[in-house]
Amino acid sequence: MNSEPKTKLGLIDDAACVRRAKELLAELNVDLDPETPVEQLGVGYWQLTEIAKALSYDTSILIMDEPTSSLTKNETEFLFELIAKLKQRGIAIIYISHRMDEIFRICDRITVMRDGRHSLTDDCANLTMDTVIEHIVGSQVGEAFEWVERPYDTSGEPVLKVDRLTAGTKVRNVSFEVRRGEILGIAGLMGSGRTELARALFGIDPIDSGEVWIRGEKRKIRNPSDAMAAGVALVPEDRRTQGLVLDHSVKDNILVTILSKLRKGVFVDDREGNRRAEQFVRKLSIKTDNIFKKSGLLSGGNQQKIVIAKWLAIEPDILILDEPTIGVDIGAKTEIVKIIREFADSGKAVIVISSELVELLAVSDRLLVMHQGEVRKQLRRQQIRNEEELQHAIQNI
Amino acid sequence: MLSKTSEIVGKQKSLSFDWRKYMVYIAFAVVFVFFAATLYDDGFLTTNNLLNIIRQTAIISIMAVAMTFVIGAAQIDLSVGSIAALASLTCALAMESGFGLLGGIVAGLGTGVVIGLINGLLISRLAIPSFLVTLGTMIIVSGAAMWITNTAPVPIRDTTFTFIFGSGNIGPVPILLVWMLVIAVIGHYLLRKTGYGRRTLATGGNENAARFSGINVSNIKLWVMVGSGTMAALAGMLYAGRMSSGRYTFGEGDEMSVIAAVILGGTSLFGGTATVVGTVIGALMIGMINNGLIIMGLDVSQQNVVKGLIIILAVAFGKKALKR
Repeated sequence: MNSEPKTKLGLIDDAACVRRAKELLAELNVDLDPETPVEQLGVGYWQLTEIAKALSYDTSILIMDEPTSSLTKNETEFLFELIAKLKQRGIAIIYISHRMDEIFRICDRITVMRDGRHSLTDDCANLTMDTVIEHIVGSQVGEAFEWVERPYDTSGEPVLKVDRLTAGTKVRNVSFEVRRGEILGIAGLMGSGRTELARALFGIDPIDSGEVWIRGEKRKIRNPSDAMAAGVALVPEDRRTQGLVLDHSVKDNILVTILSKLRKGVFVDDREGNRRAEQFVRKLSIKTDNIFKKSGLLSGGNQQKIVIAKWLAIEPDILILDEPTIGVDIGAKTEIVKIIREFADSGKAVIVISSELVELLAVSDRLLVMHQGEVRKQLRRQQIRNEEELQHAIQNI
Repeated sequence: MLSKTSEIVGKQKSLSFDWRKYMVYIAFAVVFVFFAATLYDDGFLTTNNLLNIIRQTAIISIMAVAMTFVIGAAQIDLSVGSIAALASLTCALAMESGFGLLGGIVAGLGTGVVIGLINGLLISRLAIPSFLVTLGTMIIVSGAAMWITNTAPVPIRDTTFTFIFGSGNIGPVPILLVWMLVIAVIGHYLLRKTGYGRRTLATGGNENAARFSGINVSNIKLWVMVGSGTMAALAGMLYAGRMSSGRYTFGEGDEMSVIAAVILGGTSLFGGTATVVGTVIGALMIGMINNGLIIMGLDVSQQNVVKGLIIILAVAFGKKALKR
């Protein structure tokens, strides 16, 4: 694409295209008919096609960003062989990954970045996994991210009980419970099924089998309004595409979940609506000129607080937050952690999904570690001494 | 640092005048003053002429009010003109066949409801883009309108019908103006003040976020299409009432005037922001331009060229001012 051989007339030379594509694929040792539409191929082949495309420019440096996140084990092996071959041909490869074992297997040198800054570069031979994790984690962790042991109700019925839940291919046979006042953290690599679990519980993706019990009652969740009726709220992973209507005001975004409750005859009670919106802006200290400002004009942290506000507005029993502090500055992060704790303290159940282990360790009373759609470990917070131990728990599955 | 810059940007934006929102009112005023000054001697400002403009605009306005919801939900309905034609015929045929006034009304409106439902179901349940669905139904429905009577017009003899639907006057006020105001007021409150209106705009603004907020976006899409079909049918019946007949030529090309009125009024073509009042002003402006150009003595071809230019200018100016 964009580098097609041209005929004398300047048109795309189809025959030459097929020939060149065949050459490229043969170089990669991929057995594919170049004229198959990419759609019909498996995800693994998409990656390979992507690599072939990158090589079609006579590449000398190839950057791969989490190339294995959607590959199966066999496909990953195949990719590694390919990387070795490309290396021999003199192509430099920058390989970005969360997965330590892969990095140590195929890389010659490692660079660690943290918070947008360079933190370490050294030959693999000089490094151990421990030192790398140390550098990823860093040493300075603010006080707000100190874990506070919180008492919560371990007796009685759990607020949420999930029993052998299966949804699609990414959530398999997942069982767990969350109790009153408890914050459950879910850790795992990208693509481990954490987000998909949240989506299934909120009715975005269909549940194939398994049961969801809420406060001792079995509930059927087929769509988000079922979930909301059952008292479940989800702060989704991407606030810009899933959380907010960026063109709409702060107020409209906060109230969108409770429009049917804010009624005065057939109309929406705007006076009451404004009052509630103001209340949330104050309570969560959302920094905005007024409640009528476009939410897209606010900073990431304030936008995220709007999303949290719109879900607190329905007064849920179970609040699920998927990567709640992604792209949020440190100040807002601390505040969001505080909001989560306060909500749990009021006797509600919270599930926090996060790739930021500091934050996960700061808020969680208990942790699930997910891998390939399954819950592999359930840990009480007391069992984990520090971030390194959690990082090891996630990596060494 | 970062928060500081965003604060400044925020301040500038909130201080500056929201041009796109008020563009239509400014343009309307400019065009009105221009015609009033240059065509004063030709009688542009006479009550009679102004009422004429409203008579010519009312039917487009009614369709445009419903289209505001459609475009606000980030959909489009190209079939409105052809629905108006078919509804004028089904309505006239029902009355001719002795089903009476009520039968005619039910047949006419029913035509719009059914076609709107078909549009809406195809869009929401089969997830076909509304542009394609309504392009298809537009062709089918306009074909059906020609076929149903072999292109022959159907006369309407019921004077109650013709009075209510289009040709009557209440005192000095044409009944078309009453229809237009009633539909505009209902549309305005429905959009601004009800949960349905807010959900429609949320769906148009970000369908994914709307779904993640528990909004049934399929139903929203279904209902905006049903609304648009029904209002198009009402428009067809108003044509029929005015002309005392049903004809397959009614509403021809109206979809473009209707869409132009909505966009000119300040509704975003990409959905999410919409205004019924703006839409009505937009429709009136198009009607006023038509009227003024006729009085100026331009023929139809010249009128079209000028009309198109004014629409592009108004929208482009609104956009440019917005960027600055």
